[in-house]
Amino acid sequence: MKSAATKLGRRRSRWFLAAVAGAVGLLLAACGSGGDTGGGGQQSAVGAPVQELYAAAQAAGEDKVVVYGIKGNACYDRFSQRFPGIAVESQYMVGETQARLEQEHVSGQNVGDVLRTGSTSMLALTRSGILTPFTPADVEGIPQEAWGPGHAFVVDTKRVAGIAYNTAQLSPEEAPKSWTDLADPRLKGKIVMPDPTGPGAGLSILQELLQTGGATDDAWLERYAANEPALIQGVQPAIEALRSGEYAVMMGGLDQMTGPPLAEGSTLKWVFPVAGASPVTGHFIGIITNAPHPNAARLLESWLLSEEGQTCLSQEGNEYPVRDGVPGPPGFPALDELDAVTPPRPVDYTELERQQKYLEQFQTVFGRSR
Amino acid sequence: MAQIDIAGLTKRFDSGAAAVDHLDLTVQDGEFLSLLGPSGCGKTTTLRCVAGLERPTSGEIYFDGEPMVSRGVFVQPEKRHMGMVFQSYALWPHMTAFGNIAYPLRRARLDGTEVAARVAEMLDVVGLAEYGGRLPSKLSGGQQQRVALARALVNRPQVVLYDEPLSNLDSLLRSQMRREVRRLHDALGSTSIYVTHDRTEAMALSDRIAVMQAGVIQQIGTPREIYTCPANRFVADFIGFDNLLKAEVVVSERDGALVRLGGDGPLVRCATDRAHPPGSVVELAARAGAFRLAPAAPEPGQSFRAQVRTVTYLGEDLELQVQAGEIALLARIRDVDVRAVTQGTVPVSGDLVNLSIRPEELVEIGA
Repeated sequence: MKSAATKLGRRRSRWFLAAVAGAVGLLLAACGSGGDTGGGGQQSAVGAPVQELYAAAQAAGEDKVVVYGIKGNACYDRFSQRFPGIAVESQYMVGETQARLEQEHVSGQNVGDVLRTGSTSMLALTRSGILTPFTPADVEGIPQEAWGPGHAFVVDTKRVAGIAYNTAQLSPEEAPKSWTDLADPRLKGKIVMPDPTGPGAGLSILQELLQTGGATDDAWLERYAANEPALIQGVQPAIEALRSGEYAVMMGGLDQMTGPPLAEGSTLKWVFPVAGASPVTGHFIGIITNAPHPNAARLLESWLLSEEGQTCLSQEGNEYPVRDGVPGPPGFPALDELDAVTPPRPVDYTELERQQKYLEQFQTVFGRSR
Repeated sequence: MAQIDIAGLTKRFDSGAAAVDHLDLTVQDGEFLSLLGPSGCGKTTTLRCVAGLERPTSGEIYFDGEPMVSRGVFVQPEKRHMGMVFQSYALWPHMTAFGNIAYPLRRARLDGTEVAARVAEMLDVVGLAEYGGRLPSKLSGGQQQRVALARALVNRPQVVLYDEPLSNLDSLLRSQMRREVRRLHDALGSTSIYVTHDRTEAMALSDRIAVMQAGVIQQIGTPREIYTCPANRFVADFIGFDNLLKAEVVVSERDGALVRLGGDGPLVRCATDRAHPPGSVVELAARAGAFRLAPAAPEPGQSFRAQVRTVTYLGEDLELQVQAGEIALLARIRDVDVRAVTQGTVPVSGDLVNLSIRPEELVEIGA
């Protein structure tokens, strides 16, 4: 039985919510939105401030938030410390994300609350209505081009690709220093990378390199492919193959997944920045439609995009933040100090078409498809 | 348990080509229907439109007369009361088999007693009555698949959609799971649409098969109808007729015709229930396994001579590429049967052999 006091409290917070939403709505409109470039056609619901979301999650008995996609990180623990009573359950998913989410969606059997992935399957999922548009209350400093169509998802961190090598196989002098070095025939059969013949980190990095052009043009791609790099699905398995000594060199992004294997004392070393180009790829976060813990889901996304969350992702997760004004990861050069950083582009449906062309090019040049 | 009516379904993606092109299809209440065809034929897009994962460009979809998609109507997937089984239908790792199957019922807020009863029933149906307490990590691959199937079907969806669910499995597990799928369909009385590129799977599972290509249904019929009476060249080729031949009618007979294969090929008898005037051209199809080695000298219309080009030993069978006049044929004959006729010797390239084929096995395409 709800007491009159609670009802009054709720009315007050609804008023407050509406006021906040109105204010944020004005703010977004004033910023000149990049436009709704497609998507589900829904207006993005603006969220309440994190304390309101936390209260709502508690009131609804939401004791966890299930995150599908990339592996867990230290910031999830930080989140649970900050918002006691809400655990983050992280389920690693690579390659099958779209199929899994479609199945949950169609059968009405939703377990996942939040999706975090670097894959542009976010766009396909948006189109099918599987991601629900959401704009956290506090998004000042999140650039316009970070948002997916209709705010169905948003970049929460950025990764810059580099090269890792196994010191047991190559000395620092022998290690490649540039992308052109990867096309050197002496590295034939010694390279591994996340498989670019399907959605994922490998596709994104190669695409960025080719779009940068210059030394990394189509001719470079042919020479690189002639080195017969091993194509493995998933960054984590690729790093393992490098660590095991099966390969000498890996192309990939340094983040909280690849960081630990490259720690002090490891046989793996990281070449970063790499001369010639700095492929920057975004990692996305989105709220899954019909999430079983909808308030906790929005709370997590809101917090990860807040200054506090972004600082955690940067300082403890070694990821470049998306929010302006938040310092980059410790010991990493600032993005604007790097060579030929890919200019940010909006993540919209034209990106899918662009990526499709590259996908087909890679399937042809590597002679296979996933 | 619902009849599915699809009318004029068209889906065009941004590039403009129609992935599904004015498709009409009725799936009867309780029917198991497969959409069969090669990659790109439109079968998956059709399924995704029924699932609500794609918005059709035009056309309508009804479940038992209720519009799911029609002018101004688009019912969200979770409101269409469907089950969906994909290739990767991994179990939720932190829940037991019981928990996995119970989850959809709990989400639907059924009370505990009913949940327990329904889950126990499903575990029983999939032959895992004693395994409810196990975590997925403690189940074999086949057991996990059965739990996943049970989970997809436990809240008795009116329509169940399958998108190539078995294609990642090894062939033994595949055959076992195929039987499970059909058994569950029968036990629960669902209406099922099953997408596959594998004709054996489609034939083993389906009440009817719709063969698709280029966004269009090429033929719809029972497995036997599709297998024995292909409607056109595409279906004949796809469903496994190794030999597609043009022939000229010499004499029209009851239930068949005497024809000459190609321009100067052998005379053979084919089956057809159409009357063809002499001189008209018919399209025929024959499986490699339909040919026999005939012992005696060729008899026009009964058997014919052909020259062996290649012989491949397949264990049970010999596969022969032969030439009869201008016609190239592929024959696959049991090794024991070949050697019974040839007194033990195996034909080699260059040899002449006598072949026969029963008229019923030389079918007219589209008859």
